[in-house]
Amino acid sequence: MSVAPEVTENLFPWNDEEFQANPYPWYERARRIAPVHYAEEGAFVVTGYDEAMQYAKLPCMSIVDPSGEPHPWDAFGNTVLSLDPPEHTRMRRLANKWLTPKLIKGYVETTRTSLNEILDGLAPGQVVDGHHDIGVLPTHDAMCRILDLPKGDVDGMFWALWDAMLIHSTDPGEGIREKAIAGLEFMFEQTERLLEEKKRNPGNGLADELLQLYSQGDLTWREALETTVNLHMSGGPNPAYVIGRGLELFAERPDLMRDYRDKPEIRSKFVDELTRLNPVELIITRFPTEDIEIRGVKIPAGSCVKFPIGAANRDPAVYDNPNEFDYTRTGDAARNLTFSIGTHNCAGKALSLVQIDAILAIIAERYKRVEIAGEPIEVRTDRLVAYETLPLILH
Amino acid sequence: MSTIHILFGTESGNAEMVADDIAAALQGRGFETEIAELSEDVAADLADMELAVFVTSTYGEGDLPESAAPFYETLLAERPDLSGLSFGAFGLGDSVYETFNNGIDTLRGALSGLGARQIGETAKHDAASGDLASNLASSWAATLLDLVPA
Repeated sequence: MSVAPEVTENLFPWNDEEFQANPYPWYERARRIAPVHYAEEGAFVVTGYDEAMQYAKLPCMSIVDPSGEPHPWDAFGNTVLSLDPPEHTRMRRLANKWLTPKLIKGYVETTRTSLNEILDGLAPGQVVDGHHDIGVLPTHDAMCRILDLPKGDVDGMFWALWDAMLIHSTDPGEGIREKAIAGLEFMFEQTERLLEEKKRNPGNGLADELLQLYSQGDLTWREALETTVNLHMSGGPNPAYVIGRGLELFAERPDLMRDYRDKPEIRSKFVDELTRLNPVELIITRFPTEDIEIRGVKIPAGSCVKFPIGAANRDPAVYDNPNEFDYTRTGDAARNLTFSIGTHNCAGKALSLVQIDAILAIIAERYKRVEIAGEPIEVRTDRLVAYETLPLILH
Repeated sequence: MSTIHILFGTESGNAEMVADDIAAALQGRGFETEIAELSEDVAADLADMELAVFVTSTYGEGDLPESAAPFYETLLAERPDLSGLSFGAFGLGDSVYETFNNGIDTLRGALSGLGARQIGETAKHDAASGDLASNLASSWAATLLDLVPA
């Protein structure tokens, strides 16, 4: 059933490589002919901006799959990833007070210092990986500062998270479950080892506060550990993808790189537009706890409802020339769904935006030109995107 | 000249930033300020205050944020006489939500019901506007100064 009930074809070939490489033509078609569509996997897929903004944030839109079937990500069952209010509120507040705008101003100094050290070590004409070296390393360092954890195995954590996220694909294939479990186990082992060391040598970060709350009996061990893993794994990958895409944009559009350097007043909107066109997590999935109706389509309680972020972010009803980069957009067109909306919006949004700006500003101010030195390679599913490699030369 | 107490309730730290901005604007005009997060203790001290600015966001389904809720509940339970208090009100919200700026309206209602007198317009920042809360805070604080009782 859909707004166009005669549409029964498969509008979303989630595992098709062409779809994963560029889902936007499929999103556009679905938005045009069936903006609320019941897909054959048993999910309602909603592709319009207005519907996503209105319905994804409703209090009845739970993050919890009511099927109750065991899932590898039950490993995060005690975190904001798996809870609704009021239990969610208690866990979310633990991170909120460490991620205030005031504190972020301090953390971003770590991001800047880390990046400048990397750039200082580059020889003229040396190839640098724009995603790994400019994106992942400095932002992971900032998260480690927040937690007060050592840098650890950055690449190991990055690819373990990628593997772990594979199970969130709409239709994961054979062998994915085992791969995801291995990724989760790696991240948990790494982080638990660092927390055990921290018990012997306490510091003054968020991880220390979580350990303190655990020792007081205010948190269970799983609550403390899972929250630490969630933050530890998240610091680098998400902002790094947007930073990589920003660097590619600088390479393709030197005029925009000059604007970024010469007009600091446009940077906030520039970064917002960059996130609009380049979401990292690609689908918001919710399960309404009561019957709802979206554009005439009745969605029973307990259904799976998917809001592809890129579909809402390029809705022509809101964005003129939606596929084009334009940092002068205003009103609704200045907003997007990349960091989700409502209770479960990204707790790291402010931190990510400040870091993306800081990193792009350093590149724009230190260099005249970004050159793409080899083919950028992305890895993609219907749910997530990352770079495998982004070779650049900074002139 | 009385100290102006700037009292904030926050979930994500934005109201705290606005409190700092308002304090800076008022200090720039020669006023003494004291900033504090809303709490049950602040509620107990309120009856002794003459001038205050309340800054709060809205959380969840139109509720007050974490630090403001116990303050509000204490006000309702203790019902202090606030007839000696004049206050300004600054709210932070997002018009994508129907409960836009419920938080500051809830606080205003409670304070006025206990005899406090609001001065100036209620500022209601809208995150959807794209304008910085800091800018609104500074410009609004400037207008408030002309209305502060001598």
